[in-house]
Amino acid sequence: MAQPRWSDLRRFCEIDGWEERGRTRGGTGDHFRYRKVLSDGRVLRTKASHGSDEIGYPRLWHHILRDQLELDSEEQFWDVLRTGEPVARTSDVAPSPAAASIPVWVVSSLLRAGVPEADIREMSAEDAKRRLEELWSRPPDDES
Amino acid sequence: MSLDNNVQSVHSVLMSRTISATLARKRWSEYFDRAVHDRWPVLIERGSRERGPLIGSDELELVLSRYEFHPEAFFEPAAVSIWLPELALFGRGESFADAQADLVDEVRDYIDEYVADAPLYLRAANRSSHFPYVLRAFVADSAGRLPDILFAEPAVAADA
Repeated sequence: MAQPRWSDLRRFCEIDGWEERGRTRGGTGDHFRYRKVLSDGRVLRTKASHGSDEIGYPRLWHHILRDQLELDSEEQFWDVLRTGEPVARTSDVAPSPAAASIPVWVVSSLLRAGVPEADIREMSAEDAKRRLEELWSRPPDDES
Repeated sequence: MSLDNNVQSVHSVLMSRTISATLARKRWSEYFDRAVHDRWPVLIERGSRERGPLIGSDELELVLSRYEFHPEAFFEPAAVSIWLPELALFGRGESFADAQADLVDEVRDYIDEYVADAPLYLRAANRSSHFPYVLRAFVADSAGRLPDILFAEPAVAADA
């Protein structure tokens, strides 16, 4: 399946009849914002970056699909782009992918401890937590 | 004797379970002191069905403190995204700090939207559960502490 791009997400919203919204505090920032109110009262919201870059991280894409667009599967997304027809939604939830993220408080703690962001980018969640535990278990005079 | 009577004693006012809106208007300063300085909420009643509490912001923050946020960071080669599961929002930027700032802006935008369309959002099956988190973010932002509560280490870990 093709890697989705922000431009694909914007086109999806246009075809599926989402309302483009400005920011309530003025301007649109670096993103387009969309909202759709479904007939059952649910309110969907999403945003898409201005560029055409790929939505790189699979788990973020999964959250956008499941929690913002509330689609059953990625196929539904591509069907909308291919057919030009709005999606028919159900309440089914797509399964979660195996890829893991890193809790923000762990990232913040590592950065405060002097770990370069470039190093954190290469870590899994388990690696990051293990590294933090190592740092916290060091004696106070061994900060290097 | 009606609660609206001006001669009602301070003691009976403080012990009342609910206060009429008329009396609350007349003795606003007294009730505000009770809620904020004495740290006990005042329940104001208009007619027989409409009730609203007057509560100090510290006590409201205490009530809402159990609604913790569990943001997750996603690192890509040229970007960082932070997903906020409690509000189904994400922030994105070139660095972790940029993504945090973008998420803070996003949460503020959502607060404004939620407040402006509260009847719609409180009725929506996929939005009503956001209410305590939106309220907590709103109260924290008014005190200049929104990033602190969004990115704090949670006392309770997120569900797997």
